[in-house]
Amino acid sequence: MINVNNVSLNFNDNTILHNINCIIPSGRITSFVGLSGSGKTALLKCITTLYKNYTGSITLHGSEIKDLSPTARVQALGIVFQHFNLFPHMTVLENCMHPLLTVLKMKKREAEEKAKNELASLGLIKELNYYPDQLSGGQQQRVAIARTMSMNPEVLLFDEPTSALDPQNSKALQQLLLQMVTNGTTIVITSHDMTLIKGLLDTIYFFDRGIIVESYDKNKDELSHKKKISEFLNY
Amino acid sequence: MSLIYKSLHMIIDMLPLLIEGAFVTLKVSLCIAAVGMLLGFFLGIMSCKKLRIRFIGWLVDTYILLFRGTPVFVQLIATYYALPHVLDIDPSPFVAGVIALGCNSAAYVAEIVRGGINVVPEGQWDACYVLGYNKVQALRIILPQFLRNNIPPLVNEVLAQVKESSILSAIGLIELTKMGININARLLDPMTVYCVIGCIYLILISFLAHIGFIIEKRINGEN
Repeated sequence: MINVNNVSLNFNDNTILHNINCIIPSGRITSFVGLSGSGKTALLKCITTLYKNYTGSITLHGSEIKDLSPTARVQALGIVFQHFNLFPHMTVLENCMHPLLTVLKMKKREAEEKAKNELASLGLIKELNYYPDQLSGGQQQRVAIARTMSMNPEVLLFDEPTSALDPQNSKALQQLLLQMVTNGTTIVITSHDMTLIKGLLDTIYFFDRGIIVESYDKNKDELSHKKKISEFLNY
Repeated sequence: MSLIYKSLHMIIDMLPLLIEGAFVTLKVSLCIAAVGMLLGFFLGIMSCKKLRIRFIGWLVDTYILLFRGTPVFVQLIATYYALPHVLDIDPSPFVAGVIALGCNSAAYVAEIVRGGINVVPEGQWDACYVLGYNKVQALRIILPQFLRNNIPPLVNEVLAQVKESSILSAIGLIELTKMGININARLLDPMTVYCVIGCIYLILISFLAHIGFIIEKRINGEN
């Protein structure tokens, strides 16, 4: 479980996040929704410590995420970026193997097997020797997921996962996320794609100008009582 | 007809000496390029925005200002004549030339490297960070991407050094230009001598440019 306590983030004199408090429960899907510039991605970057200059605390099972070693951090948290950020000069297989060899210091054979297994589970076994620019958006995203999943992170974060996908690939991603949660992975998503969020409906935080203005938990709340979230989902 | 025959005869006579000079030019240029590339890459990496440490960044900026802001001839003369006084060493023209032109080249290479690394998308650094790479490991991801786009300016810098090495004649290094000056002093036919020297430089540059082209294709994964 990730606990976000009183997190605020400022760049120069601009407040990006203001006193954010939220809980990301284990084994479920948590969605951060809201308009562009509302602070969803900023919070994701604070959680992954890409932004470190926030105040407040973000803990994973009670340990401050900022204090984790890089190896512990990658095994706790993995992120799939909006534009995937694959290494363009490496093949699909190399993209997945390189972090295993470099960071987790796996042996080449072991890393190759692990990477191939992850890629096979995402239907990419034929594309092992392709370069990222030879793949479609959906395939690139699955490579990015495989690269992150091969590090065995406990929590997987997605930044605007459907922004570069067509409706068919978005639907496939939704199925994949539901399957990952069934397998015990904790998922965090930022999105303003209401179709995706509707399909994943679990825990939702609604952001507006750096503040969480409404939250919803499918086990506790009635969606119709959540005016902003239901308005967003039915837009 | 006899003039052409005379010129051809003269060219055949001086060619062995000019080729000897060309080899010295090639040797000194490659040494200059090696110093320029190694030092330039180090300085460029230290001054790129992701790895810049304030104090070291200032030092690198000052170095670049100094070497780009003063004539290379002044730097050469200062190196050759000042080093014996300042450091109590007596460099040969070859060594002084490599130091002066290598350090000068490094300033330009550093700017190519700094600018080139800075334009590698920020997302690549972010990906390295979230995958747990440290900064040195991240450079192993970033530098190949930098090289893909920056082989032509780096090759240009090497080619410029081949031509610039001709100023080493001023401190007595018998490279291609100096050899030509010596031959001309004997034959008194500047037109023929300098045309032949020009042609040899052109062949050297074409040869190195072709190697650069092959390297560029290899790095970009083309056949």
